[in-house]
Amino acid sequence: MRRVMIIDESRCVGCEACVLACKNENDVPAGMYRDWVTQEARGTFPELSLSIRSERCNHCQDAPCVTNCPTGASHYRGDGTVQINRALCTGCRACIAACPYGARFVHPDGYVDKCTLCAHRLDRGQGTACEEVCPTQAIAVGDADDPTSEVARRMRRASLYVLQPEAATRPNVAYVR
Amino acid sequence: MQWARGMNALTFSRRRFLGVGAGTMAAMAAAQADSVFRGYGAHAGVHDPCTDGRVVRTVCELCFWKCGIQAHVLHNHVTKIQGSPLHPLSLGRLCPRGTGGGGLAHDPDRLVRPLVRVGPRGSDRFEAVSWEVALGTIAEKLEVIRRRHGPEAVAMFNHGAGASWFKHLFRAWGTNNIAAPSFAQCRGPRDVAFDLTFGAEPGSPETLDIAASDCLVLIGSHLGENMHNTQVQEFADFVAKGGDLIVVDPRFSVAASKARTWLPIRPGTDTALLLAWIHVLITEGRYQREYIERYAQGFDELARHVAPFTPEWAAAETSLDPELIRSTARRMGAAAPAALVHPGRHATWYGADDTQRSRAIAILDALLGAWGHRGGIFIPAGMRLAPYPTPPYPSARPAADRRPDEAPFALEPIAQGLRRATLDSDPYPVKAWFVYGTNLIQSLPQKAETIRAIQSLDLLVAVDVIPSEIVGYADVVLPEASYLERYDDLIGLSWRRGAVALRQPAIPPLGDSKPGWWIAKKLGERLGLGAFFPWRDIDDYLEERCRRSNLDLATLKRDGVIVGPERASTVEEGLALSFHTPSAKIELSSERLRERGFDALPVYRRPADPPAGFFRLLYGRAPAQTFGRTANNRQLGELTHGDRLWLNASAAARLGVRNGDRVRMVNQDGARSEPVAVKVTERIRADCVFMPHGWGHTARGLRYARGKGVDDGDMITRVDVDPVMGGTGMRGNFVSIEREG
Amino acid sequence: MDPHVEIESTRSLAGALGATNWGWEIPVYLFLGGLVAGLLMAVCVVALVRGRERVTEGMRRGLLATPVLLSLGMGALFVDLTYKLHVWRFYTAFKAAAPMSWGSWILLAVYPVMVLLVLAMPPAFLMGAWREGPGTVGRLTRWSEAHLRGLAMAGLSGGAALGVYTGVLLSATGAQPLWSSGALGALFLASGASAGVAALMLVEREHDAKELLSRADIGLIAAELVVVGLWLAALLTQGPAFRAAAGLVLWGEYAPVFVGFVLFGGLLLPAALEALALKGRAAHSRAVPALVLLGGMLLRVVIVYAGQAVPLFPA
Repeated sequence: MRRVMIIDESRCVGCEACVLACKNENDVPAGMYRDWVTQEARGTFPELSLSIRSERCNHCQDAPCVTNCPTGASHYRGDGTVQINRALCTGCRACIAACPYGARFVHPDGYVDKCTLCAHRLDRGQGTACEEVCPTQAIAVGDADDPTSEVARRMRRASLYVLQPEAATRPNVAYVR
Repeated sequence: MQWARGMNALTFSRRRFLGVGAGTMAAMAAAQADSVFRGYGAHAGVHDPCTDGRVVRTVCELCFWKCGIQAHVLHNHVTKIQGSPLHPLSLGRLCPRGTGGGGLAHDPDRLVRPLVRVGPRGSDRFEAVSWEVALGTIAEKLEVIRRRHGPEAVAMFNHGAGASWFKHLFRAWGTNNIAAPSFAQCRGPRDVAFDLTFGAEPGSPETLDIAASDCLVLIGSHLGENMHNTQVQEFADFVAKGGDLIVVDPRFSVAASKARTWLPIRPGTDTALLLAWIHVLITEGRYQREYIERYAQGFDELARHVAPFTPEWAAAETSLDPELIRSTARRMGAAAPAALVHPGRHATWYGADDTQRSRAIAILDALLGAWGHRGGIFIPAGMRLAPYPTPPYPSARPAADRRPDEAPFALEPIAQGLRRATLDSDPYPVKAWFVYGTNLIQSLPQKAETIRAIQSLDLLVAVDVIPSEIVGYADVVLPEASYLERYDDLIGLSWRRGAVALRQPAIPPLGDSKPGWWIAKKLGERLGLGAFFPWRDIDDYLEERCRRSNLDLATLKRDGVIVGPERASTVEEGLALSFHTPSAKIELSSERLRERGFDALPVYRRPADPPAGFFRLLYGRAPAQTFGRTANNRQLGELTHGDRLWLNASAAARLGVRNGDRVRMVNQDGARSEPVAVKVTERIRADCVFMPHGWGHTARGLRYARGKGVDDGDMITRVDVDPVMGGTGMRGNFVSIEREG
Repeated sequence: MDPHVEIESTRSLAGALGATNWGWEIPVYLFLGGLVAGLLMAVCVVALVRGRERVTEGMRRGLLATPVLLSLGMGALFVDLTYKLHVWRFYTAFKAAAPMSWGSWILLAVYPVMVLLVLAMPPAFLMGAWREGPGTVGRLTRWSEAHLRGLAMAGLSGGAALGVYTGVLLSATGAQPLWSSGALGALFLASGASAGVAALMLVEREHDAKELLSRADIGLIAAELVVVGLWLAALLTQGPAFRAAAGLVLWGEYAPVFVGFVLFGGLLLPAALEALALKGRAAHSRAVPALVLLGGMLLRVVIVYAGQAVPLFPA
């Protein structure tokens, strides 16, 4: 099983409900974000385009954070997600330096933190907090190895893309336009 | 205890959390009290770390939409809020405001004790008193006013579902001066326009069949930055299926970015565009002919009226491309009747143009056959709810909000009219204001007038949850328990299927705050109106109402909502259309308007251009806020503020202003704003600026909101009143930009 | 950045103005690590090529400083940790792919080598009977003297590893265009070697040794300049993000320090002065190695800070 998250950008309106739902579900400290919204406007008036995305850790299959972690705190969980074992984290922050997505932050308690893909919810058969709250159903999480899943359906779309493809990290979070 | 396999990271964190915070519950609660967010708790064995097992289904009050929600409770703290999957408006999902409701319930600045003013009115100095003293003071003063001036000398301003108790109270008291700013300061013109045309308002929430539509036109709606839950859900479905989206907006809004066509219209010229669209539909025969012949009257007059309003004419007014005007009209016609021009919501823009512009939208929707068809405007049904029997209200003098013949088509009292009546004691003195859940200092334009009126009162009472500006002026402040801490009256929903929802408490009231039903009942009893509150308490009230309405209260408490039966809401589903107009038809031309000396059909009047060096000031919503009422919410404050002034990039370059710079606005009357940060962007025309409404709080008690952003109200010194229904047009102000420092 | 792109996001790192992930602690550690690497390598080369007797008093003092300087560097690393209680976790794992893991173990392994080398080649004030006794110190001293060649090889390779790894630490992260170059390992190695030689020049008294060190330093500076040139040339031709990163140090915010104090003040000027001194046209001055050391410190400061100012993600 490979857990992936596929986000439909055309649906997203940038309301940031996903940001707040995650903060409440995961006790994310004030001023810090496990997920966030990025808006990119391009062009000059009136020829304009706007790209709106909910972003977070991309749970890469070839994660530079896992590679660079000296203690093994950042590790592959085996279900497609990358997790942090807080017991092993020294706060050296090589992972933050290695992440091409800027997805990690230092928790006030000292360890490095990031999106866990709500593994505690997924294990219970629930959706991630962001996926469940999203009023536009922009976010879908599921098993890429299940061809009947919504995520597999989205992955078959021609407009599928990943962020920072030049980093070649093979992320498990991708977008469709 | 491990409740999930392989969760070493998360199990460890709880163990560590336990290790660190182990000790008394009080210590942990105290430690948690500082953090805005609650997620993990020490409750091992609990399935969801955010709850101790209590999930309460209730109704959100962060905006007027009233979605059903599920509040998770841990140690009497609301840790997270989700949309209720059972409620037709939320369908399990929720906007950011509702998601951040915990930030209101646990706002450290909340009102927790009744207060009585000790300094001069407006000095924001109070002493805490008991409910006895607070209610006693109010009752005493009201009695004095009744004896001297009559019960009609009391005006009541309100916003929110919890107002029902107080509207009932003051009806029983004997006044008709009950107004909600949401009418004349917001949706009034379009409610009146649709009522004149179709015999019914578009609804609150609007009954729009967006997901099934093939062509959606947004003109004066920035859906997406406007987070009305259900509408945004359907909007996303519409976009995803490839529906034809046409957006008219001087700003490249989020909705505009998803549109097939964005029309960056010159502000103030929307009526010209609408008339041209009507012109194209009629002259090219692309309107729903049979539908019009069967259901509408006044078509011939309409056709003659729009003959000169060609796309070329409109192009000159609107600065749009005439071929684009023509082609978008054709696209609407092709999609009809599954074509919908969104009625908008906040329609008080330019005054005399407002009801007429909304009429043009209504006429366009009629020509498209949208009213009553799938993909257009569906016909809702409500639940039949029996009232709790109380004596009939006494007859009372007509409301003082309007002079005879003023705003003849207003469907409700107009709030600023009550203000004027207070200032002028005309037609009779108004000596007391009772304000529930609306911050009149920000919600009414021309703040100085509001303050003058307040200073002339004998009594100002404010009922609120947080110490907003109006609270600072009150003589007596009554702290209401937040929506997460109280029962309210049954909340009916008129939708595709009718429904009734129950607001019920998830946590106990904070401090000495009380639910509105208790406040109204206690005050009513002191005023000798106990007969109007014959029920013992809220349980008694709800049980009886449910019994009489054939609703099972236990089910309602468990599910938070009871949904009515399936029924037809469109012609396609078998519904027969009827129109509650005098002619029983859709009134394209309005005799009723004509009789009163107004234009029977919308007429376009060119707006004034901004003076040289000035920009028209436009305002709107931010997705994570509900105007001013959420500015103090520390959870919502974690999101993108949206409190900056949008300025076109070329205009900014000419002024030497860069992104993030602070500037002051100076309006046409010389009013100067506080410094505000600028968002330099290509996403707006060069002749206008845009900012969200609801910032610039000055209330001392709003410690988080104070000083954030600026209040657009300070720049709205000029108000153009719509003579048809009294709406206050607030987009007729122009500002120049001064660099700060 | 394309002027017609507007980006807004609430990403954590984007929030705090001027905040960086790695602060002053890292450049300080990188410099001290590189300096120690250079000192070790220089002394070990002399010991191997010219023999123990030719290791001068100044060099022995330099050698003595290595464990002290390295401890200071590790102290800076420790201060940088946000979860200091877990520092021992560096030593419950070895991650071959993580330079920081390599580094923790190299740092550990290099200590005994430094101590034994000092025992074998102590500075004058540490010579004493205590070294000749039957106790542990005496036994270790005799062992070290007997195995000096092997120890010097260990010291040389350890120093080289230390020097290279400080650069690879940055380049392995991959998320900062300025750091994403294989040249960084070579650059920090050459810079560290040059700093080590410069430090020795500061304490060296013997004229012949000073000449030797000067010549070595000029060679090392030349090598450094070549590597810097290759590094910048690659950045300027690798694409827009990399060009922006290079621009930051060549004509942007960091240019005055980089071009002025690192390239010119830390490399070109001292090399020129040293060449003049060698030709007899100027006196050997302590200012020259001081400039080299300052330039080495600032090189790392600029690279660490400028690198974090232009991340791979857009906002």
